[in-house]
Amino acid sequence: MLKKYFPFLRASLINVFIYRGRILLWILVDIFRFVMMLFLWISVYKNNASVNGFNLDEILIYFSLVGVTSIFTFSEVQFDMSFEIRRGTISYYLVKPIKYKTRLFFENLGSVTGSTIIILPISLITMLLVILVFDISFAITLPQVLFFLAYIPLIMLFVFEYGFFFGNLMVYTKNNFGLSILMGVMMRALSGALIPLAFYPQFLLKVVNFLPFRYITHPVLIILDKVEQPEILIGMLAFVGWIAVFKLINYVIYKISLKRMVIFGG
Amino acid sequence: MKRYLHIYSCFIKQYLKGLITYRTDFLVGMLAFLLDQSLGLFFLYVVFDNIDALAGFSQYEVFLMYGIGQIPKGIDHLIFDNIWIIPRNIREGNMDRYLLRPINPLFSYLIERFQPDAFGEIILGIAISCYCFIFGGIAITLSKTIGLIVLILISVFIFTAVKLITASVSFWLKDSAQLMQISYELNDYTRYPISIFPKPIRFIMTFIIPFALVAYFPTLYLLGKQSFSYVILFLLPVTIVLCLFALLLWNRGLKRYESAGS
Repeated sequence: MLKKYFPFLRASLINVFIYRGRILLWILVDIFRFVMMLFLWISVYKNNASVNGFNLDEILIYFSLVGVTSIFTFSEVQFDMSFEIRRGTISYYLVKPIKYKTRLFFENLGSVTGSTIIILPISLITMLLVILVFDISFAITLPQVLFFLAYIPLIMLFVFEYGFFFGNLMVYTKNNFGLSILMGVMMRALSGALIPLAFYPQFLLKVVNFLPFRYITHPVLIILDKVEQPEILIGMLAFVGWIAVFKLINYVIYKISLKRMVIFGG
Repeated sequence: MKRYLHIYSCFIKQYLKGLITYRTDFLVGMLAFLLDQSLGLFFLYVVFDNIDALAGFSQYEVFLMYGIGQIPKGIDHLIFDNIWIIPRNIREGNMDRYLLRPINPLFSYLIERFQPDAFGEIILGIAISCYCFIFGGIAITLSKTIGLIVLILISVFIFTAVKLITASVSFWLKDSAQLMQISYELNDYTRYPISIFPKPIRFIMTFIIPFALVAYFPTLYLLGKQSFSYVILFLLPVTIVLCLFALLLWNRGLKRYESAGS
């Protein structure tokens, strides 16, 4: 049934390796950002042993792990969609006996898999270096790791739906670069990737708690033992619920966009 | 010179017409950059919610650093945004066009794009700075305002020069987009007191990729911690050297430029 989509997965996976040099350079950018952040946090912790229940060691682990999960929050769906809409190439995908969205999903899966193969070892080494340099000791249990891993496919699914949503909005504006920045900003600010959500003032926390983005950093908090056991399961269920909601919204909005789309020639 | 100004105004007019045609795009872009740049500010806000001072600077003082750094960045983004796609143009052989025109190739390249998204950054920078002056109890006099404007106008060229240098590397390496990105992003971290970084990084931030001169030093001047002449003594020579180097590299690069295929 899904077999016909595997070639798309394979193609985008291979594509990642063609441009592996470029990816490695991006990782350099990320490592650079990470190191600069380290200095900032060290300075923040100079006069405080613990801020909002996080000590320096935990913050360092937090950001290292957020680096790992961020591999899975990668999405190019919005760009692919806007590109195909603008070029009009979307029309010949639509007439083929494959589902447009499913095809995009497999392509996205392929590129995430590819970048995981390249980036994950580097992220882990960076984390190991941080642990060694700062002499951090921390314990993790097997269930924590399992929960962490269980969250990863959910994060990928969620980000895909989120990207697809924005892809649909690209029908209305040509500024796909701006829209994509908007998409990233929302995710970074509301997920806790920028700064642990525990640091947020109360009124903001209320808003954030109501939104699905915070589950993106949930697995990291689980590893750091900041989430109670029952909350882990409730969180997962809620996240699944949110993904379903997004799927539904996307289903409707996609129908509308298809009607609005005008493709010239071909 | 007059001819160049005339050509520039023609281009701007053309661009503004496009802007009005694509109104949503403009709004989306401006909002995106406004929010993107607010993210750093939000980060500071949240951090300062939990601590009192960062390397001896109060919340308002660090905010001011952030706001001031934002303005020249925005101005450069507004006028010289086209530099970002130099690597791509070199790779695809699109530079031919500029070499054929009877005006300076760099000029004709730069005027091709005017980036109104940058208004988001400029507005944000001015708003934050004003906020700090009004609520933060940071005194500002007329002479300091003029001094600040001078510093900002010079700082614009630091951004331009850094972009042009890293983009021109593409003439040799074919793609230097990441190099551009990494050096440009260094700016995100020079909006904090540079004393939090180790000495080698501080040196780079002051003399090599001198973004500290854009935000940190002018703020010291405004806070009365350094004199105007002290700041300008760093800023002006470094900017001039950087710009000359950028022009040199660009010109050398153009000579080396070999276009692509048919």
